[in-house]
Order: sequence, then structure tokens, then C-alpha cells
Amino acid sequence: MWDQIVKNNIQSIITMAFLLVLVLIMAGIMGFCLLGTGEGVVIGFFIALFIFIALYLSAKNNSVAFFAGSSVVKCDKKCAPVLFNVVEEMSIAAGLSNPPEIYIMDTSIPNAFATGICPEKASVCVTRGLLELLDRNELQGVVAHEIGHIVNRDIRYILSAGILVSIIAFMARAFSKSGGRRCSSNNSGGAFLILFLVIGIFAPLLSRLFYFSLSRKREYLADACAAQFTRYPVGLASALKKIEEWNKLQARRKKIAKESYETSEFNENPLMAAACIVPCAVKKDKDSLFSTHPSTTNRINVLMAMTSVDYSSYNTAYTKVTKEKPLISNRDVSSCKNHDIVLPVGVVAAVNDVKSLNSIKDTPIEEKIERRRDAEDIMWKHSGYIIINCDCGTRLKLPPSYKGKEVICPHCKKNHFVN
Amino acid sequence: METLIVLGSGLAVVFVAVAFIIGIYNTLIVLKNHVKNAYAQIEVQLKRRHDLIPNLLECVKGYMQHESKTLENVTKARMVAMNMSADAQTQSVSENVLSSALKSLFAVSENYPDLKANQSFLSLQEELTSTENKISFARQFYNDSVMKYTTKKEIFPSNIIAGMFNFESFTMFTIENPAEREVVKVSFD
Repeated sequence: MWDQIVKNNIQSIITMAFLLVLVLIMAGIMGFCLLGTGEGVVIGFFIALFIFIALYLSAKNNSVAFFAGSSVVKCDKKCAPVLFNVVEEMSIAAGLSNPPEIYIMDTSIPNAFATGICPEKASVCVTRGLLELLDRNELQGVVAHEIGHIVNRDIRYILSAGILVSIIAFMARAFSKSGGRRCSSNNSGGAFLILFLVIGIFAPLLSRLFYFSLSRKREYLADACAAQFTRYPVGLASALKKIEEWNKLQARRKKIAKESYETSEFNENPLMAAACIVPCAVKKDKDSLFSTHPSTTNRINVLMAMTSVDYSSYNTAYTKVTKEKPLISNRDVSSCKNHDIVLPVGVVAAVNDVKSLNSIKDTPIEEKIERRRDAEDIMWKHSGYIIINCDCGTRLKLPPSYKGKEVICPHCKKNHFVN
Repeated sequence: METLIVLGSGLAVVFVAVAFIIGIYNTLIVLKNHVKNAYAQIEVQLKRRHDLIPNLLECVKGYMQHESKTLENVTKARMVAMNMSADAQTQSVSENVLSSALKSLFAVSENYPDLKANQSFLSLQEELTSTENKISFARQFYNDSVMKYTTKKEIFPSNIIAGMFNFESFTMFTIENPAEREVVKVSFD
């Protein structure tokens, strides 16, 4: 699979090489200007390399914490059985040797991300808001998308590229503040200075553009993987539609109430945002040059235009909807065509019918309430509470300090054994 | 001097060709082992289902005393499936019979509201549904692995090397009995 992933993305390799060369050039010039001698160039290289390795290792060792801070909760089968089962099912479909670790972030904003430098030590994080919003099929689509990222080694690419972009931005800022004067006074580097200023202004911009286009392409590929793993592109398309609706509702509520609702702090860092399933607070709904994610409408339309679930079908749908060059290299497309992965009969009808997409408005209120209670129960269980579902519909939440063997339901007076 | 250059370049060509052949051979071996591993995964999930069913029956028996026929069907289908581990084709047939029996059981349980609210029954139902899903995904992954291996075996130039070393073919999971393609009709009488 590695050759498929790498060859699919010659553009990603070129992007990485470009960023690397840019970093080395800037580091070299900075070193030269600051120290005034040829050795400065080498020292500049080494400092840039050192920063890169330091950031890379820190991301690798504390993956989830690096991305999300401390508000994540590690989940096991007892805590969230449905989510655990969904992740396990998708890891089997993807052929992972062991399922990724599961984390839940305690926020009502629906989103999900994956981290992990290699597939054996990966983790997937979903928010409580996502569990409240989506049903099992849609959740499976989202998890399949994240596992697609893991399988395609996207995290490694995005992280490396993101670090390079940050180093470039840092150097440009540092140089513009101090080095420029030293450079011009040290040597006859007038022309040099102009060259560096040009690089210093354009390099951060260019590198960000390349980084965002890389990230967008990878998102489409992860969508293709999700369709292949689940054999049900409607699931992911429904999930994306629901999340988008939720975001629009939040924006409207913010405007009306003039209050500040929960903001997506973890999404504002572009390094982090690229790993999530959707960006938050997107103003324009098209593939702009500066967005880490493709527009959600495009993603939904491509998924719904698929006629089967292999890469070649996603490619065809992609070129039809976005009118751009195909995503996946011809070599792999042609090898897929011989063995078309056909959609099951019931799914073909669903894919061609836009009404088959679930929306928040159409979900019955009882289902919404039930799901919200389930999601909140997960957080209670993690804090050590015991949840007992009484037949009358009451959910008894016993704190960890409760030592009794039995408990009586306050509504119907039925006796329950505490295990 | 000239002969040395010719000899050197000839050796280089041979070396590159051999490295190329070794690369393709190794890729074919890796893909073949992926297929074998994927097949073994299906067995793991099937065994898990066999182990879960007695728990389900215990939980359900107290509530569904009048449904002895349905419960009997599940038990019988399980015994048959557990003993049929020899041949892949007969195994998948007996496993599909077990799947249908379980579906009937869950359909009948809709008539028992006490059972439906019971927490252990709900979690067992989720476990069995998830196990059924995992069996399907394991079969799906097996089919995907067979597809990749067969593709690599058939395209040029790997087909030459595959032919040279006689790499075996694998078949995907298919439905042998055409009746199984029909929607499962659940009836309880």
C-alpha cells in the first residue's frame, strides 16, 4: 500500500521538497548574514534541522496532547461501547494490525481528528458533540475518514509540512526584525538584502499556499478511502451535511444572541486544523486557496456522484463535480478498473437520491435526546459514575462514593442491583 | 579498455534487471501473505460470534418462554456452524444460516418490551450486530486483498515473474446460493 500512497501524490513529494529547499535557503542566508562568514550558512542549516527534529519528536511522543491540549478523555470498551465497536470495525476494513486508541474531547462542537506518525501507534479523537449529532452509519463514515488519514500516512506529511511552514514564517519574522540591518552593514549585501526581503515576504505566503493545497488534496483522498472502507458513501455524506448544518445554526445563534458561544480554539491553529474532518467557522463555501479543507458542498457532491466505491469511481466523480484534473494517478486507476468494487444494490438507489441524506431537522426529537444522553453518559462513566437504565426510562447515575449493593428508582420504585 | 567498459555496463544491466525481478517477487509474496492473513481474520470473528451466542440465549430465555422454536433454531445453527470448519465454501453457507437465525431472533424480540429495555440484552444485541459487521468487513478486506494480489499478478511486467514462480490464485467470497441474494424474509409461526 505504501507505493500506492506515495505514487498517488507526486505533488505532495514535490511540495515537501520545495518547502525543504526553501527552509534550507533561508536558514543559510540568515546564518550568512548574522555571522558574516561562509560557516554561517552551515550553522544556519543545522539550527533549522535541530528545530525541525525537536518539534517533530515532541509531536510524535505526545500526539494527542500536542494537538488538543488536556481536555481529552481516553476511552475504552466499557466507557463507549458503540464508538469502540465502530472503530474496531473500521480498522478491520482498513487492514490495520491493531485498532487506534480512542479519545473523546468534551466539547459540544462536532469534529474529529486523527494523529499518529505510524499506523501501529495511531489515535483517533472525536468530540462529544459529534457523538450527539450522528447516528451509527454516519459515525462510521467519519471514523473511516480518519482511519483513511492514518492509513495514507497523512499525519506524517501534514506535520512535517506544517513544521516547515512554521519555521519559514518564524525565520522571516526574525530576520525582518534584526538580521536585515546586520546583513547590510556586514558586507556589500545590498542585493542580497533585497533578495532576502523578497524571499522573506513571499516565502511564508507561498509555503502556506502549497501547504493548504496539499492538505486539501489529502482530505479528498481520505474521503475516497472512507467510501471504500464502508462501502456506503451516503454515511459520510450525511455526516458532513449534518456538521455543516450545525455550524450554520451556531453562526445564526451567535448573530442573534450576540453572545460568544464555544469557539473552536483548537481549530484556529492551522497545523492542527488540517488534521480535523471539517474546519470551523468557514466563511466561503468553495475551495479557496487558503483553506485547509475543501468546501463541504463539493465533498458531499463528489461522494453522492460515485457509482461504485473504488478509487477510479471517486476520481470520475471528482472530475465531474470539481472540473479539475483527477486526484489519483492513472496507473492505479487503471489497475482498479479490472476489478470494479460494485456498490450493494440498496446503496446505489440511496446514492443517487439526495433526499437520502439525513439532516438535523428531520431527526426525531426522541432520537436526539437519546443520543445526547448517551454521549453525556460516556463522560459520566469516565468520571467513575455507574449508570443504570431503569425500565421506566430514568437513568440513575450513581457517584463513585456510593457503596450500596442496591438502589431504588425514584420514579417507579423498582429495585436495581449495583454491580 | 573498451572491453572493460562493455563488461562493466553489461554487469550493471544484469544487476539492475535482477534487482527489479527480486523487487517484484517480494511484492507478490507480501501481497499473498496479506491475503492469507485477511482470511485468518475472518475465522477470528466467526469464533467470537460462536462464543457470544450462549450468553445471548441465557439472557433471552427468561423473557421469551413461548419462542422455543426460534431459540432452538439458533442453537442448532450454531452447532452446525461450529462443526463445519473444514471447507471454506460449506463454512460460509452454515455461517449465513446462523446469521439468518439470529436475525429472526432479534425480530421476534421486538414483541417483548421488557426484554427490549433490558440493559444486558441491549448490549448483547450491540455486540452481536457489531460482530456481524466485523465478519462482513473482514470478508470485505479479504476481497480487497485478493483484488490487489490478483491485479499485481495479472498486470505486465509482474505477470511474467508470477508465471515463472507459479504463484497461486485466490478466489473472492461470493454467494453460492442464489436464494441468499434475496432479501431475508422473517417469519415466525
